[in-house]
Amino acid sequence: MPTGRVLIPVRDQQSNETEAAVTVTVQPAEAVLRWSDLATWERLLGARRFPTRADRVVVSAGQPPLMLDVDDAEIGRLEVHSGFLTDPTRAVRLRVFGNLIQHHGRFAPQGTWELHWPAVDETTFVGGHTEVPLETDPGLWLMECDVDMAGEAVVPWALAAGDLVAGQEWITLDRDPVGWRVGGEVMIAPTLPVDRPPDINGDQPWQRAYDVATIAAVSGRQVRLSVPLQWNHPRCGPFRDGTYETAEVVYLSRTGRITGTLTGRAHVIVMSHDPGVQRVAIRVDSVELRYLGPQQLDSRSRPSGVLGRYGLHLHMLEDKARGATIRAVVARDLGNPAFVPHASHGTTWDGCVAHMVHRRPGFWWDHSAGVQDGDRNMSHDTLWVRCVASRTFNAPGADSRLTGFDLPRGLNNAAVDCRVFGVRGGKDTSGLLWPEGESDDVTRTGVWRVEGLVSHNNPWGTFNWQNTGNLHVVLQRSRIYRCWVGIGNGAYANPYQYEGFEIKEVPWPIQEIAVGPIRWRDAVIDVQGAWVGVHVSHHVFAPDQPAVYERVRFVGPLGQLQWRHPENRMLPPRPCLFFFDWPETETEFTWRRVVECEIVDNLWQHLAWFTDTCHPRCQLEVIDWRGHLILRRRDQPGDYYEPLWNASVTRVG
Amino acid sequence: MAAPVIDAVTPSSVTLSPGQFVDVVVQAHDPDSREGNVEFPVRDMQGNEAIARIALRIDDPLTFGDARNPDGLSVQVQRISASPTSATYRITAL
Repeated sequence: MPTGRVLIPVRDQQSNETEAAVTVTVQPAEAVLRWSDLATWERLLGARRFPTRADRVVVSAGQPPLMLDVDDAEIGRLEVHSGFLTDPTRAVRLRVFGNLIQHHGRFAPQGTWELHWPAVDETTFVGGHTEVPLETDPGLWLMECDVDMAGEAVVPWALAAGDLVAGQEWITLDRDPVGWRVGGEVMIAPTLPVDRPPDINGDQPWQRAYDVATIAAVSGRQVRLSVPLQWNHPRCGPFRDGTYETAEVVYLSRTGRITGTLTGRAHVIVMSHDPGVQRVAIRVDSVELRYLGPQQLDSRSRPSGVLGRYGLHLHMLEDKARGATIRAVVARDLGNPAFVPHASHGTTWDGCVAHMVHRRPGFWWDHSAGVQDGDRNMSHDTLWVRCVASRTFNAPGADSRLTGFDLPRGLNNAAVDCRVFGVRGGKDTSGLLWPEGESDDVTRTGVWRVEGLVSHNNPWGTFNWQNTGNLHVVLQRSRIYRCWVGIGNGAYANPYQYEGFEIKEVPWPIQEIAVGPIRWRDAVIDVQGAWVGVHVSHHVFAPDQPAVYERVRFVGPLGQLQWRHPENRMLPPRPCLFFFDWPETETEFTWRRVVECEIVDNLWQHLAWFTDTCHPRCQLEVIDWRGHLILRRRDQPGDYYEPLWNASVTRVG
Repeated sequence: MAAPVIDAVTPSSVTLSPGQFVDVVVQAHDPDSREGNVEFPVRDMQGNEAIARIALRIDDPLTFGDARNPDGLSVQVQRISASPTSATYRITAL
């Protein structure tokens, strides 16, 4: 095979030059069965005519690959055992009226192509585990095969270079919009400040102020929209390093597309149950998945996703999936989770975008807790990097704990530099969720590396509902802004350590629920505008040790009383950093230790508030350059009474 | 002044069929670049001092030129994006 080296010169301003080399081998053109060639169909159908939606065609293993090279093809059912390609030199389109199945071989549409399911009946879906394609569940079934699907490469998202103002048509980005085309669609994330509580039925402007438009022109890093912006998208900051967070501008179009319809959603599933297949090579790059993930009505007549039929489902590939890369794929308008590496190990999802996902997380796989043989669901060595979850939503008044990123069990999984916004759901709806039962103390599974997260304009920035002994050190380099609650840490007991995060413009920055050796470290918590910095909804267990705030910088000033408590409880008469309020149970008391924290902007005067009826064992210890103070309820022993905190204060040492 | 240093070529070796393409990312840096911190002391009236630091990097912006095709190999190479330290090239087998 002909091989050579492509040499790329790299120069500096003084014309010093060096060369980068790429070794390229070009394989001889393989024989293909062209869709446009009637001889192909004479061979496959036994007649010199093109297939129709009534035809069921099998391309056997001994045949050359089938190449789609027309833009108006249709077929009933297509099962290919050799290979499936598209002509990369032209735009092609295939309408499928049943299943499209690749068995072994290689499935490799590339360039400008669309696979479209125009007539899916979602009521026929059976769903669930299967090792064979089901006629009832129309979609793309990739069985035992290598997958190499790609559209034209794109940068999946960028950030606005500054504030965006309603009425603007030109927007400037922070990077080159590679692959963004005139006529393509962009979505601009909501960044409005929180001006009222989230309302699951009302969908407040700060949650829904998206702009969606087509691109009218691209010039360098500037993009002109087809319609002026409807909403302001103000930046937030400055953060600790002096930078600001600006609105995400997400490119939603791709030249490679797999689509159902709004009311007839298909699905994509990759699986391998043949023990003779050691590995399936998977690359999916810059592909759009739209109107996938079918739903059916549940027992309460609510639309509910069909089990196992998702946007892109890697189904129980185990180690065969290792090395899979899914890059810059956008999944939008789905009725079920978008990206599902289920019991499939070693997969990387880079720059993937889930937008408009109904009632399910954008990024997820099956949970293990409470399921027979549940550990079979685990995936290991998964990397979600630079991914975006946007606008996970539900029917009014429906699900609690909806989220963008859901972190199930497995080993060595990571979510790094991901972004989430616009999630809308019921109580405890969050940008990122550590779900109940998914951190297992016996197998030590479910401990994720979560770094560089940006969560904004969500009801909760992150939410944790785990009882576990596993140490989770999370949220390094993360930013949570313009959410209703910043970080919520439940359930009853865990040792989570939240380190290095920043919270800004959040009415309820921290909600403690669990007890245990919990640490909040090296963070910046900006309580400006909030009435209470840290509050507890309830403890189920009495703490045997304090929650520790260590080297946290608290920035103020605290604000005017304008919010109800997230749990509709009473609020203190004065704003405060740490609130000790009325007990709901005998065991409920709160114990906190504040070590070497910076408390600036007059916040020392608002350090705490102890209600007269809080649990008598409630306690706040402060250890820093001032010394060591212990604050308790006003009727407890102490050296003096501090009216600013309504607390009895003891000086130690 | 030294020539630019290639940090990574990803992928550095590819096999293509006619009509297929691959995007190759070249990362490089100027070895003459220098990094440092500019420090500003900030004091209050009591003489307490904190240091504000700005990380500074001075280097030469790099230019990624047109690729040279090897003789006898039927490929097309296009530069599709470039920044001062990296560029993406699309190699298409014809």
